Amino acid sequence: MSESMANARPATACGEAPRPPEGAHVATREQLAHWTRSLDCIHCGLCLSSCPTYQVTGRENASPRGRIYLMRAVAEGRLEPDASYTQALDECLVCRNCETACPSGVRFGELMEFARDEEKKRVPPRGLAGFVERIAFRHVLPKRRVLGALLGTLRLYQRSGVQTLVRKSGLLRRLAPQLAAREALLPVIPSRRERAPLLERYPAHGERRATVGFLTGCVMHPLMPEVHRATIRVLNDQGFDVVVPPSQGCCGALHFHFGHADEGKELARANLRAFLREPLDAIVNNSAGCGAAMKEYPHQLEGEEARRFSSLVRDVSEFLVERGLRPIAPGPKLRVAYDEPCHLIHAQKISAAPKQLLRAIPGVELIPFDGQESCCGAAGIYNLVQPTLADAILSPKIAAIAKVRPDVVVTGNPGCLMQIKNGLAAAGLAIPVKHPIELVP
Amino acid sequence: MSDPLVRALQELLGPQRVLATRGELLVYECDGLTQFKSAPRCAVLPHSTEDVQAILHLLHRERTPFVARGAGTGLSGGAIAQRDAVLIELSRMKQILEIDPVDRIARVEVGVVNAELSKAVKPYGLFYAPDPSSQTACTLGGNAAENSGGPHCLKYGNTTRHMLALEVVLPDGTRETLGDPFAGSAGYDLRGLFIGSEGTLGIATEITVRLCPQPESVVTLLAAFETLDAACRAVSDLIARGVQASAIEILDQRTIDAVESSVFRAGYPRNAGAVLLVELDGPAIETAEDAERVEAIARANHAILLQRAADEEQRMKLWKGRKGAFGAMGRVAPDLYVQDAVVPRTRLPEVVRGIGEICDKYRLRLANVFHAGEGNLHPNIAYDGTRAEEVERVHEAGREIFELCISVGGSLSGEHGIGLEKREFMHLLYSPEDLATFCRVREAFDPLRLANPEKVLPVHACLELRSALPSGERGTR
Amino acid sequence: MSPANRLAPQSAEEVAALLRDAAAQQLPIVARGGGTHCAAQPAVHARAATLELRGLSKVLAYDPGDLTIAVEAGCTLAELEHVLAENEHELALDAEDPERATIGGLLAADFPTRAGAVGRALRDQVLGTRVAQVDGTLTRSGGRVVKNVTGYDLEKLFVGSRGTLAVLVEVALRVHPRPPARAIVAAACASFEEAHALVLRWRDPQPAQLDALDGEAARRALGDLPAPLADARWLVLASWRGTERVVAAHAERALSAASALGGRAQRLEGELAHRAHAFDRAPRRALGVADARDAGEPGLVLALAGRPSQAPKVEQILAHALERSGCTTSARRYADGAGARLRACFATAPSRERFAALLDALASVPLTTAARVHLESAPSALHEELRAKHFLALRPPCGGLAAMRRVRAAFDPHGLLSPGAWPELDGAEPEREASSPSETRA
Repeated sequence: MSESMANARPATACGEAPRPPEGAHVATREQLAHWTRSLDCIHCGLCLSSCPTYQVTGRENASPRGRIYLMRAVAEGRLEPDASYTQALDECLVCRNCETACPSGVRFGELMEFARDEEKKRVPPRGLAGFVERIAFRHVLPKRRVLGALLGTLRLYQRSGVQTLVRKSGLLRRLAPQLAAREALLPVIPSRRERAPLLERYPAHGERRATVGFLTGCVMHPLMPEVHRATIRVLNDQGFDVVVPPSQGCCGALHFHFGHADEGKELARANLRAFLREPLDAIVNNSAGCGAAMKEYPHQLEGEEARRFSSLVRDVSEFLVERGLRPIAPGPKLRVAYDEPCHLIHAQKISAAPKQLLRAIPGVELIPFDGQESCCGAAGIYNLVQPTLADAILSPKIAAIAKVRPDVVVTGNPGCLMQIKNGLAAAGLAIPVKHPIELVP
Repeated sequence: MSDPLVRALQELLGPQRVLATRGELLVYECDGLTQFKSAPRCAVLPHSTEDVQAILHLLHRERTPFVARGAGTGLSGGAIAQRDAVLIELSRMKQILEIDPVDRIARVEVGVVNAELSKAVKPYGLFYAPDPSSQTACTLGGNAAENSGGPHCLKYGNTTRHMLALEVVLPDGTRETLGDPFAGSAGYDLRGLFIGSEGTLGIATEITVRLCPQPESVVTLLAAFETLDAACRAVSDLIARGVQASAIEILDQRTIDAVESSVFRAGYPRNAGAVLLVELDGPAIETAEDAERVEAIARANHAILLQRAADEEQRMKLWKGRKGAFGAMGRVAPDLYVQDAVVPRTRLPEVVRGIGEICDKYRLRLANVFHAGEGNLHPNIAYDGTRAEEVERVHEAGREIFELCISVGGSLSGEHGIGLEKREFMHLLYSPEDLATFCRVREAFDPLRLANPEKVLPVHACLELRSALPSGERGTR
Repeated sequence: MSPANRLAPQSAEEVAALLRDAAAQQLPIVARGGGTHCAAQPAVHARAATLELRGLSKVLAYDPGDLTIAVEAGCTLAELEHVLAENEHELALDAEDPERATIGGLLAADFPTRAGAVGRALRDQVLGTRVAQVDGTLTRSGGRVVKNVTGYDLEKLFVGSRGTLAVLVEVALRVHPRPPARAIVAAACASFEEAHALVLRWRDPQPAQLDALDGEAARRALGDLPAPLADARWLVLASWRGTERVVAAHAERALSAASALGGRAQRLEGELAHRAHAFDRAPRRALGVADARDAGEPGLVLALAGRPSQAPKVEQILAHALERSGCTTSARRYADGAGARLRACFATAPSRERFAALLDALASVPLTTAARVHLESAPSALHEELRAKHFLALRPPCGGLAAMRRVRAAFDPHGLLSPGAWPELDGAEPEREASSPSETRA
């Protein structure tokens, strides 16, 4: 069964492009590019301990190295994709912790997105998870009106007492435990008034330093309007005009992560059109996942526009620290635990800026905790489609937070914010979770 | 799934902890060394010593071989499942069971990651000394199997000096405690034998390790030289003059190139023929004195650049290049063949020169990055695995390098182990009688040779031994 | 023992040939070096042949630039130290009687060394070995380089095997540069607890010596103590080695650490320093314990080995046992290894009855700390008493006994080598399902 030194890494010493082996399923240009990129992995295994799903399961096929190995085996025709292959792809959070750990600079996020896209084309997802996904990606996220209507219904469900009844009766838990787990994740939906659309322009206070575009995203505005308002307020206070193009839409991040690249690209193009209409000094966002996706539009779309767009994208903390902070008014004394969103620290390599911003607020004391930089398990809709793993990944983080007892936990990504909020609530801990920008008085 | 063994294991552990489909098993067909591949019959995930015992009992009854695996970062193919072995994945056993800051020991399960242990004991002002380059991922169980090294083993010694007791399960499922941290000599040091036996004597499940106090100060120096030869001579001088460094590392020009073009850019001078990294740790007054001696010796060997890392950040950066060198080269080079021979430190300049000549002769691209302070070489040879003729040349060069190292009194492996990769070279170093002794020791633990089959010892050494000896002479009874 | 049974081979090959011949006649064989630890061995079998290894005393390869040396096993420690001194080098091995102790004997006995108590374990000094096996083959393991994981680490097995596996004929060792200067400090403490607390403070940076001596032991070893130390119930001794500047700084720091703990401490100079150093080189002699080579029986050194954190508890147990057996006045106590090894030293061994009472007293207190009893020096009668009382070194919780027996059988299937050296390992291999060759070929 053992093969010798042949067939390890088919690249050549004299710099010729590597060729796929006989019998490989590498037909298109994209497939070839993907296969070639998978060769960057030297199988050293340094990524293993950084991978949340490997930490929880201990399975090699739940590790970045194992996943790349499988993708490559499928591409080379050594492995017929089976249920365990689909599972191996589905279990990945695409948190990209592994990219930080990798000594060879493997772009794991891109590899995973492509492999998932291929796999979704081969076997469209079935079952509850598949249903949720299809509806969400095709019909909800891209369409604000549908999203609004859905959220209205959910708010009705929550306010009318039906939710209380459902939860108390335990009916759902008995009939559909998986659905019950997901139901439990439902955030409290703000009222229609709170969800009212933003204005198109908010002028700077005092001397204007620059003009920035602001991404509202898909679910963030209706679910957390207070975060957007705080972001705009702080930007204005710090001397920036904020423009909110009305024709913008969802960033497409979830579509890319979960193997719906075509829909994702549509959304990306719409955003290029919306934001490049007028000259902007930056395109600011307050969601780590959206920021990472928009910075990587050039991986998805060709052309100058995508590159120009991505070069303007900034996380709000990154932008403010880069431009230099105007003095901030003192706030209340707070012990703050900062959770590092994966798509900020690993995908965008931003770790210092949010902490600098928080430290600049008089009264804030940053409290370190174990696993501050590890994934919380939210990962877009991961907590909906992989609830068991997501919980297992979250629980050490909640335990670590419980140990340091902060006044507030902050994190710069809406998914993480909701996930940690749910985790703390489930653990019976009354610690609020906020976006860092909300702490700026 | 019709394999009755898989069913039996599932009954033992539950279906979740037995992996048996091709997709699940393919990822286990190799470890950190990709030249050899062999998928296991199935893989199991024990959670405790009792699980391991139950598994080995069953496998012993069924006469089925097994191989234990930690993080699969090994570089000699030690975790590859030969002979359709069952793979025992120990990654789930990752509890730190006890930390005693007064006695300076910790008791851990084998799946604990090396760097995680140092992190856990840091608040007590302690650390776990052996630091293989894969320390952020590799497990202590894997370290025990390989007797792993690392840059700082120059001062602190390989793994065997830091593991004081082992809880092991022998191939027949019996459980034993080997060694005692403080009780003193009591019979044979089976602990010392077990460490570095590459999984061929049984499976360790718990380890008691020694913890070292964090040094009061650390000084890292970089010296650049025009030639690799000059750097090697500087190392020979450092050792001969008795400079007690904690680490002495060399990177040659090709390695510097690869590192400086990667994410691990450390600011090494690109015009240098070689860079020497020297680290000193201990009381501040000692490291300050030694740093001056190191600088004087570097200057005497015509260093073209001398730097002293002024703070922790610079220190980490200098090391980042060294620790990421393997990955950086893997990315720019095609396949890599990495050797691990050790030579007396007085012979470094000539051996390193000789290796260069061998690679020139076989028209191969060579890069050197190694633990110079211990004479532990890591020649990296770039090649194209799809070209049979080139693979053949690599193989020939590899043999000549081993022969050269052994001719000056060296050894095959300093830290990676023999595994599957180097066992065919064992006879270059050891006589048939030496190898036969190893076989007998192995059979004292594992008469059926179920534990990690076909590793360390040349394939037929034991069989030949048996047929060469009169029956009854080597009874195990 | 008749002289005919004493064999004095001059080379490894001769050792091998003699082993083969003796084994062919089923004669027990005992290898002997300087005979400095023979008391630890039981009476030699009447028929046994003794291999005197002093004839194998060549230095095979000394590479000062690589800090390694390979020697024949019969080389004495003093001979080797002499060779190394030329280059200001030394070994991390020590013995009370370096003129007689051979390298092979030191390793085979694995007697606790002074260096071992301060972190330089004997077994970690060995880079490679060559042994003569009972069937007359000569085999090697390890090598001469300072880092090596090629093949099984059989060197570890041979260290402390008391000659029961094979006869060591060659050894490669690490060599260390000899630091130019030494500073010794001493502190007076009112109790063992206080002394132990100071020991834990002084263990960083790593000293070259770190001992706690009871008052009697201190006065015996150092003579009259100067005023600040004079009334010490316990005395802590520590030394550091390095350059003058470095050791002076370490000593200064040690003194301030001691005064922070409320102890009276001072750096020792002149005659006092000389005597403290003599204690470090040969603690038993400094305490007046009779040597085996002197006329008459050796004195008694009984050691309790356990966790440093438990040292105060072990000290209480020992004090109590000494008192109950009426040994208090004749026993002097000292501890090293950060308290890991506490000893009671008797200039002349007590009677077997009194020793039995001491063991009984120790046995009556549960050694909850899992401290183990060792005899570092004793007349053979007391060794027998220790065995009779089941204070065997290999009693549980010592693990791996069955595996040790199988290892022994793998090297010496008929138990001819040094029978009785580890009596627990003598005799037939324990119950274990034997494998037939056909099965192992599977």
